[in-house]
Amino acid sequence: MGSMINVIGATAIGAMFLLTVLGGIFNAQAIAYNAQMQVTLTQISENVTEILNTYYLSRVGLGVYSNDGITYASSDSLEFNSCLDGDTEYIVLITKDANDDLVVYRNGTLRFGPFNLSSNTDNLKFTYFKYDSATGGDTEVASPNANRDDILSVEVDIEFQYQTYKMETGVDYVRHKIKFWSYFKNLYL
Amino acid sequence: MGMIEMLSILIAVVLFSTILIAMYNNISIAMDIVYNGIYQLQGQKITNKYFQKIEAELLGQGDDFEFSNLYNTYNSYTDTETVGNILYNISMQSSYCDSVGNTVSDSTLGFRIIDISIWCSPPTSSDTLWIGTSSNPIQKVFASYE
Repeated sequence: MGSMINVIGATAIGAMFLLTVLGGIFNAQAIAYNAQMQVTLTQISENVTEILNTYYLSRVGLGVYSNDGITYASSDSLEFNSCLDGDTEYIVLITKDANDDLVVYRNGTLRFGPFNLSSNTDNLKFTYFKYDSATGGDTEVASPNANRDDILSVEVDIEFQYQTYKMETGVDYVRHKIKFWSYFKNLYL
Repeated sequence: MGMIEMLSILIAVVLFSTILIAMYNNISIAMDIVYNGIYQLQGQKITNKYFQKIEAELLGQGDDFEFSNLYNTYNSYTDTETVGNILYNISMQSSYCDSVGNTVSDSTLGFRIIDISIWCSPPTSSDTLWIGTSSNPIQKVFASYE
């Protein structure tokens, strides 16, 4: 009887030990997977912001008459005219859709996106600035759509998200927040 | 179960635990590398902001900004920028230079070199993370259009 109790006790302790070890290994694998997904998300979101900045935002007002550059400016949308890649003038709209995805339209047609933005409220935020000659610095433009002729640069605050895995809850998110700036050089000329 | 067997099992448990601890440690180091890379990329975007700003100001010169302002405006210039609860400390220096960026004392050549170094304290690391340093800054040469 004594040896039977020993066997049962050893089995229980061994099982607890095995469960702990397996749980630890599983958790480590989940963390490593999330790290890998963070790298992938970073690569993709860096590419997206690079295209946004160099292909679209750096060409605001390119080849169009003065004061026709920006046609709409709000905290989560920016619409402008530009001869993006030739003589043809396009209307470009950078905004987020009903699913909170980043999208870019050209003449009303989706040209770039959708890219999954985070569930945070400030997942896409445009802040507009003008040059203040008195201070030599940038001053935020209040009511940007009403004063869009004053806008000379924009600060873009954007956060991307990718759904991944967490042991306790089953669902986890990796996020990548980026802030970048674009000076509309065509509007300075 | 004898004392020797019991001790053997305990030693096996301890040894096996070190494998798990080492595994978590390695993952933690990998995560640090990933996040430090993200902070460095953000620091480069801040650097890019100032280079863009100077280019735009020079393009619009005459009304608000002259090339001659560049040296005084950005020499020993400091600023901060917060992105995702990380505070980036920005330090800029300007110098007279020639067309290839060699610093000179002659201020009439029409070239200025801007040095930028940024540092932050990532929450995942106890070390200061530098994006460009005072001895090896991120640099760009600007020429006068005048």
